[in-house]
Amino acid sequence: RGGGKMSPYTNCYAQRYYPMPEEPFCTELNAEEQALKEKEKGSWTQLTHAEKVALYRLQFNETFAEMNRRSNEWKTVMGCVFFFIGFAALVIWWQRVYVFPPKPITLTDERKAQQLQRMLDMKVNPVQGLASRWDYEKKQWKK
Amino acid sequence: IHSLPPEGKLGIMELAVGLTSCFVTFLLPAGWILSHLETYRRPE
Repeated sequence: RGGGKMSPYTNCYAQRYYPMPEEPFCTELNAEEQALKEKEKGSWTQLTHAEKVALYRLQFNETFAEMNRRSNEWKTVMGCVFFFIGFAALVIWWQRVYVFPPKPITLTDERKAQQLQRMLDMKVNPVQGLASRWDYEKKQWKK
Repeated sequence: IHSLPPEGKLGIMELAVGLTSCFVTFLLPAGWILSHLETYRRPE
Protein backbone atom coordinates (compact mmCIF):
# COMPACT_ATOMS: atom_id res chain seq x y z
CA ARG A 1 0.00 0.00 0.00
CA GLY A 2 1.13 3.49 -0.72
CA GLY A 3 1.17 6.23 1.83
CA GLY A 4 -1.33 9.02 2.05
CA LYS A 5 -3.34 10.16 4.98
CA MET A 6 -6.66 8.58 5.59
CA SER A 7 -9.22 10.61 7.42
CA PRO A 8 -12.89 9.66 7.57
CA TYR A 9 -13.88 13.01 6.07
CA THR A 10 -11.85 12.87 2.89
CA ASN A 11 -13.47 11.64 -0.27
CA CYS A 12 -11.17 8.68 -0.65
CA TYR A 13 -12.98 6.77 2.05
CA ALA A 14 -15.35 4.27 0.49
CA GLN A 15 -18.41 3.30 2.46
CA ARG A 16 -21.16 0.83 1.84
CA TYR A 17 -23.49 3.69 0.98
CA TYR A 18 -20.76 5.58 -0.89
CA PRO A 19 -18.85 2.90 -2.76
CA MET A 20 -17.18 4.95 -5.49
CA PRO A 21 -15.33 7.90 -3.98
CA GLU A 22 -13.86 10.53 -6.29
CA GLU A 23 -10.33 10.18 -5.01
CA PRO A 24 -8.44 6.90 -4.95
CA PHE A 25 -7.40 5.59 -1.58
CA CYS A 26 -3.68 5.98 -2.31
CA THR A 27 -2.66 9.19 -4.01
CA GLU A 28 1.10 9.14 -3.55
CA LEU A 29 2.35 6.19 -5.58
CA ASN A 30 5.87 4.81 -5.62
CA ALA A 31 7.62 3.77 -8.83
CA GLU A 32 6.31 0.22 -8.75
CA GLU A 33 2.75 1.35 -8.25
CA GLN A 34 3.14 3.94 -11.01
CA ALA A 35 4.20 1.17 -13.36
CA LEU A 36 1.20 -0.88 -12.33
CA LYS A 37 -1.08 2.08 -13.01
CA GLU A 38 0.45 2.40 -16.49
CA LYS A 39 -0.11 -1.28 -17.11
CA GLU A 40 -3.73 -0.86 -16.02
CA LYS A 41 -4.32 1.41 -19.01
CA GLY A 42 -3.70 -1.54 -21.35
CA SER A 43 -5.78 -4.64 -21.64
CA TRP A 44 -6.88 -5.97 -18.29
CA THR A 45 -6.52 -9.55 -19.50
CA GLN A 46 -2.77 -9.01 -19.27
CA LEU A 47 -2.99 -8.38 -15.53
CA THR A 48 -2.37 -11.16 -13.09
CA HIS A 49 -4.71 -11.76 -10.18
CA ALA A 50 -2.25 -10.30 -7.69
CA GLU A 51 -1.90 -7.18 -9.81
CA LYS A 52 -5.66 -6.76 -9.95
CA VAL A 53 -5.84 -7.05 -6.20
CA ALA A 54 -3.01 -4.54 -5.85
CA LEU A 55 -4.83 -2.12 -8.14
CA TYR A 56 -8.00 -2.57 -6.15
CA ARG A 57 -6.11 -1.85 -2.95
CA LEU A 58 -4.69 1.31 -4.48
CA GLN A 59 -8.17 2.50 -5.38
CA PHE A 60 -10.16 1.36 -2.37
CA ASN A 61 -9.61 1.18 1.33
CA GLU A 62 -11.68 -1.90 2.02
CA THR A 63 -13.52 -4.58 0.09
CA PHE A 64 -17.23 -5.02 0.60
CA ALA A 65 -16.61 -8.22 2.51
CA GLU A 66 -14.34 -6.29 4.86
CA MET A 67 -16.88 -3.50 5.23
CA ASN A 68 -19.70 -5.95 5.93
CA ARG A 69 -17.93 -8.10 8.47
CA ARG A 70 -19.49 -8.25 11.90
CA SER A 71 -17.85 -6.31 14.63
CA ASN A 72 -18.24 -6.37 18.37
CA GLU A 73 -18.56 -2.62 18.59
CA TRP A 74 -22.15 -2.91 19.81
CA LYS A 75 -20.82 -4.33 23.05
CA THR A 76 -18.78 -1.18 23.64
CA VAL A 77 -21.75 0.97 22.72
CA MET A 78 -24.11 -0.83 25.06
CA GLY A 79 -21.49 -0.77 27.80
CA CYS A 80 -21.15 2.99 27.44
CA VAL A 81 -24.92 3.41 27.43
CA PHE A 82 -25.33 1.50 30.66
CA PHE A 83 -22.33 3.23 32.20
CA PHE A 84 -23.82 6.64 31.58
CA ILE A 85 -27.26 5.55 32.77
CA GLY A 86 -25.59 4.45 35.98
CA PHE A 87 -23.70 7.71 36.18
CA ALA A 88 -26.93 9.67 35.78
CA ALA A 89 -28.40 7.60 38.60
CA LEU A 90 -25.46 8.60 40.79
CA VAL A 91 -26.04 12.26 39.96
CA ILE A 92 -29.72 11.93 40.87
CA TRP A 93 -28.82 10.19 44.12
CA TRP A 94 -26.45 13.03 44.96
CA GLN A 95 -29.20 15.54 44.23
CA ARG A 96 -31.64 13.73 46.50
CA VAL A 97 -29.13 13.92 49.31
CA TYR A 98 -27.68 17.42 48.88
CA VAL A 99 -30.08 19.45 46.75
CA PHE A 100 -33.67 18.46 47.30
CA PRO A 101 -35.44 20.15 50.20
CA PRO A 102 -36.90 17.89 52.88
CA LYS A 103 -40.17 16.27 51.98
CA PRO A 104 -43.31 18.21 52.84
CA ILE A 105 -44.85 16.99 56.09
CA THR A 106 -47.94 15.82 54.21
CA LEU A 107 -45.81 13.03 52.77
CA THR A 108 -44.84 11.58 56.14
CA ASP A 109 -46.38 8.23 57.04
CA GLU A 110 -48.27 9.75 59.93
CA ARG A 111 -49.93 12.43 57.81
CA LYS A 112 -50.73 9.94 55.06
CA ALA A 113 -52.43 7.67 57.59
CA GLN A 114 -54.41 10.61 58.90
CA GLN A 115 -55.45 11.55 55.39
CA LEU A 116 -56.59 8.03 54.65
CA GLN A 117 -58.59 7.98 57.86
CA ARG A 118 -60.21 11.26 56.90
CA MET A 119 -61.16 9.88 53.49
CA LEU A 120 -62.69 6.81 55.12
CA ASP A 121 -64.59 9.02 57.56
CA MET A 122 -66.00 11.00 54.66
CA LYS A 123 -66.94 7.74 52.91
CA VAL A 124 -65.08 8.65 49.74
CA ASN A 125 -66.37 6.74 46.69
CA PRO A 126 -68.57 4.28 48.54
CA VAL A 127 -69.87 2.31 45.54
CA GLN A 128 -66.79 1.06 43.72
CA GLY A 129 -63.85 2.88 45.30
CA LEU A 130 -62.04 3.35 48.55
CA ALA A 131 -64.87 3.32 51.09
CA SER A 132 -66.51 0.31 49.45
CA ARG A 133 -63.43 -1.75 50.28
CA TRP A 134 -63.36 -0.74 53.96
CA ASP A 135 -65.29 -2.72 56.52
CA TYR A 136 -66.62 -0.04 58.88
CA GLU A 137 -67.77 -2.54 61.50
CA LYS A 138 -64.59 -4.57 61.86
CA LYS A 139 -62.42 -1.51 61.07
CA GLN A 140 -60.31 -3.29 58.52
CA TRP A 141 -60.11 -3.78 54.78
CA LYS A 142 -62.62 -6.18 53.36
CA LYS A 143 -61.11 -9.50 52.40
CA ILE B 1 -8.90 23.36 18.90
CA HIS B 2 -9.46 20.46 16.54
CA SER B 3 -12.77 19.75 14.93
CA LEU B 4 -11.76 16.49 13.32
CA PRO B 5 -11.75 13.04 14.88
CA PRO B 6 -8.40 11.93 16.29
CA GLU B 7 -5.95 10.50 13.79
CA GLY B 8 -4.64 7.82 16.07
CA LYS B 9 -6.58 5.55 18.35
CA LEU B 10 -7.20 6.99 21.81
CA GLY B 11 -5.81 5.08 24.73
CA ILE B 12 -7.78 4.23 27.83
CA MET B 13 -5.85 6.80 29.82
CA GLU B 14 -6.51 9.62 27.35
CA LEU B 15 -10.18 8.69 27.27
CA ALA B 16 -10.41 8.62 31.04
CA VAL B 17 -8.66 11.97 31.47
CA GLY B 18 -10.73 13.64 28.75
CA LEU B 19 -14.05 12.34 29.97
CA THR B 20 -13.30 13.10 33.60
CA SER B 21 -12.24 16.66 32.86
CA CYS B 22 -15.37 17.18 30.76
CA PHE B 23 -17.62 15.85 33.50
CA VAL B 24 -15.84 17.80 36.20
CA THR B 25 -16.00 21.11 34.34
CA PHE B 26 -19.68 20.69 33.62
CA LEU B 27 -20.92 19.12 36.82
CA LEU B 28 -18.82 20.67 39.56
CA PRO B 29 -19.90 24.33 39.16
CA ALA B 30 -23.51 23.31 38.63
CA GLY B 31 -23.34 21.01 41.62
CA TRP B 32 -21.79 23.69 43.77
CA ILE B 33 -24.62 26.09 43.00
CA LEU B 34 -27.27 23.42 43.48
CA SER B 35 -25.93 22.32 46.83
CA HIS B 36 -25.77 25.95 48.03
CA LEU B 37 -29.22 26.96 46.83
CA GLU B 38 -30.43 27.60 50.35
CA THR B 39 -27.69 30.12 51.07
CA TYR B 40 -28.58 32.15 47.99
CA ARG B 41 -32.13 32.66 49.16
CA ARG B 42 -32.94 36.09 50.54
CA PRO B 43 -33.94 35.83 54.18
CA GLU B 44 -37.61 36.55 54.52
